Amino acid sequence: MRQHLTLLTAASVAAAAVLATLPAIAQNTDVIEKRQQLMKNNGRSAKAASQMLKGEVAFDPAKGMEIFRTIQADNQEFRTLFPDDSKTGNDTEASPAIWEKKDAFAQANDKIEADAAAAIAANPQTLDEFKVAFGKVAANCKGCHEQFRVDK
Amino acid sequence: MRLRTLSITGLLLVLAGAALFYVLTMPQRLDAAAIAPEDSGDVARGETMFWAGGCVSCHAPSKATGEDQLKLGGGDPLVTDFGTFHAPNISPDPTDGIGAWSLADFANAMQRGVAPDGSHLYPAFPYTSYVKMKPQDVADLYAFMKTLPPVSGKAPANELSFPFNIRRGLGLWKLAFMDDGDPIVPLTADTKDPVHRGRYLVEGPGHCGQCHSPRTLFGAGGIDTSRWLAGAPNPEGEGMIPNITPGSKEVGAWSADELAEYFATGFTPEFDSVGGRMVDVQENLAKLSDADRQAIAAYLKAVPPQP
Repeated sequence: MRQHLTLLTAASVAAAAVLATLPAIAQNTDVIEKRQQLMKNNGRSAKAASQMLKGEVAFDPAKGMEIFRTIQADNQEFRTLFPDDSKTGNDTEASPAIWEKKDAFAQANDKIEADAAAAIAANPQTLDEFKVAFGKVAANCKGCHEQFRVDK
Repeated sequence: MRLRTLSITGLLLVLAGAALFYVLTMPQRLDAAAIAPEDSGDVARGETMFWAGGCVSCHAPSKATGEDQLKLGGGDPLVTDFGTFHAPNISPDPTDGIGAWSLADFANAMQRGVAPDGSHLYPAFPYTSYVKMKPQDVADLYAFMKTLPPVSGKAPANELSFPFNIRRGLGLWKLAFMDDGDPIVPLTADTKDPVHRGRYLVEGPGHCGQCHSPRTLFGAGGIDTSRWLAGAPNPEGEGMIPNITPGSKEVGAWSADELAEYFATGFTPEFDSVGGRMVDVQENLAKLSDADRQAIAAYLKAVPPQP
């Protein structure tokens, strides 16, 4: 009987020890939420661009430049939000490939920032110019999602 | 004496089993009447079938763009639970590709999964959908593919685990799971024409159900048509291939115009973008006509909703 009690105590202590370590492996949901918010911002930027391209909203060169600057700034922050403790949680759709292929992920981020910078430098003044510049930036969406997002 | 009788009986049973396996797994080719005349293909119409069928997604390297997409020497490895498939060279190279194939050879591969030498092709090649293609469309596709640049060099052999590596055994798989040419979703005669065209493109050449529908036999069987387009586990690993019926929580809310816009641009109504393997598919769909994208969208709004 005493032996059973000792075993039970040992098991309880072990269980408590395991529970105590859980917070240490809990995921960093703050950065995951931040990532998700920045992606929503990108969606808003794309929507604003699309409305001008379709003629639903009048084209405004200043608005166009603002879209490119927002995408550029958001991405500069976005790429810093993938610490090793943010692989799961909060329904993240981040693919394990982000951490497995860090160089390729960095290149994909460099590319959208370079394309956004080129669009800003081009400073499109007509709808046709804006269409070309935005098309190059927007191609990065699926270019990156092809490899680095998992649909759930 | 008794031992000898047993041995002979055992031997006869093994031979009978082998004979039965041989007969059941014999290649079943198309009737000659189900193949269009050899030189009847139209190159321009064939190009539409080529993009609808998405040949480049598996038979060209994934990073290929522009003219390089038309070099069909074989694509990236397709890594699945059964092992790794390597899509073969289907360029018109006469030795390494399919340049020496007749239209009948091509049609039997496309619609029966049978190679010219009588061996079975793996259903990673979606012949269970292509079986629904019209003979003339197969001939048109054949004519178009003859115009592509020949590529030399064979793709590597598949690396599959037992028992999937026994090609002959695919004859049994086909007996159980080979589809026929009939449509999956019944439509009445008064259904609008775009829906009929969309059904043909989705169920036949587009082979959408190969990934968007679950399979029977723990993923190794045929398409579960009772759950047509209801979504399924990603055959290449993590995540899900989404439900694309009107019952889908996400895609179900999209209008036909929004679906067609997604096929053309890769942007969802909320301006999220296409991702994963669907990127290749969307870029193929972008090469179809507006009318065909609208037809596919109209059909997707007409299929039975799935939860």
